[in-house]
Amino acid sequence: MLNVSPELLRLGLSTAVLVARGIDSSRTPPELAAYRRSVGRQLAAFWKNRKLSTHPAVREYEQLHRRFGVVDEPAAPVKILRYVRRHQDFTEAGALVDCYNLVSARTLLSLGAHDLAKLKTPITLRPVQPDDVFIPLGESTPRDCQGEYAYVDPDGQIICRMEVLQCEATKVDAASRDVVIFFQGNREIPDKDLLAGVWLLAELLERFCSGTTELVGFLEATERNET
Amino acid sequence: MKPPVDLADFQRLDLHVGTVVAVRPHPNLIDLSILTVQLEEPVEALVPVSTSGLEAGARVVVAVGLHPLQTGGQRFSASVLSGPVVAEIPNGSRLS
Repeated sequence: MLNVSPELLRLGLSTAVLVARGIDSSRTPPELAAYRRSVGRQLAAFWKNRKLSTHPAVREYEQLHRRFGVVDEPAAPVKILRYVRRHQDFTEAGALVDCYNLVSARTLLSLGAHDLAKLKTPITLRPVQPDDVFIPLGESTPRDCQGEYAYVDPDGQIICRMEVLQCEATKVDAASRDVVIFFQGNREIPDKDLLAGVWLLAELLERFCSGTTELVGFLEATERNET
Repeated sequence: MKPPVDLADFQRLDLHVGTVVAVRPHPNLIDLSILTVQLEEPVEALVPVSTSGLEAGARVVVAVGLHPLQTGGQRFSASVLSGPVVAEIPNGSRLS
């Protein structure tokens, strides 16, 4: 379901793919809201007097972005943790997004969810090519991201720009039932944490969204010369 | 530098010492291995292939009773947390 280009594998990216089927994200169970607030308080306390920007995993995201000419674009977990540090809670974004935000904040993995009913596969994580098109979440006109890397479908539609911003076309909403979640880490995030993140999200989705899940992709952050 | 695991989460873990008796690749995912670990009974545990020191005969700490994770046509409820264990602890001994 997810291919990673040799160029990006050489840069130490790690990835995993979890498919969730039959989920119900239309309501947030009180137990999930309580868990979300509890983790939010815990993480806010932990990060209160620590600089996110000095964490090796965060620095690695930034170094990767710089290789592609991108600066001042925080990776998804950094944005989540900045919010949590200010509010001692996560945004209330629906059960599915709440679950993967929790995993992202706890592990520093970047997670993106896409509605399988709207998604063409396989997806490839690779440098952007001239014909690729990206329409960001919440927008209706294309945005240029030449020179960057992205998750791209077989038709050249960018479904996620780096690990920063998803597209409009495959977004999940309360009606989504079958979704795929892409996990992205880097060489500063241990592979066992990648597996633990997948495991945690599978548990949260099955407990709080009534779905079934399956791990269908897992690539470690290793120096590779070829796929 | 990692956020702490709260005590309640840690106390939920069911940790045991065991001996790796077999290692085989995941049928679909080249970067995962499936270990058979002898506790009082054998269990199958899922681990990244880069986890060092997990050949047959290694003694490891296994978390069992995890929420089942479906992959490769199998459901896993165990993962190796650490190894190797050098202390003389019988297989299956509970640590938590």
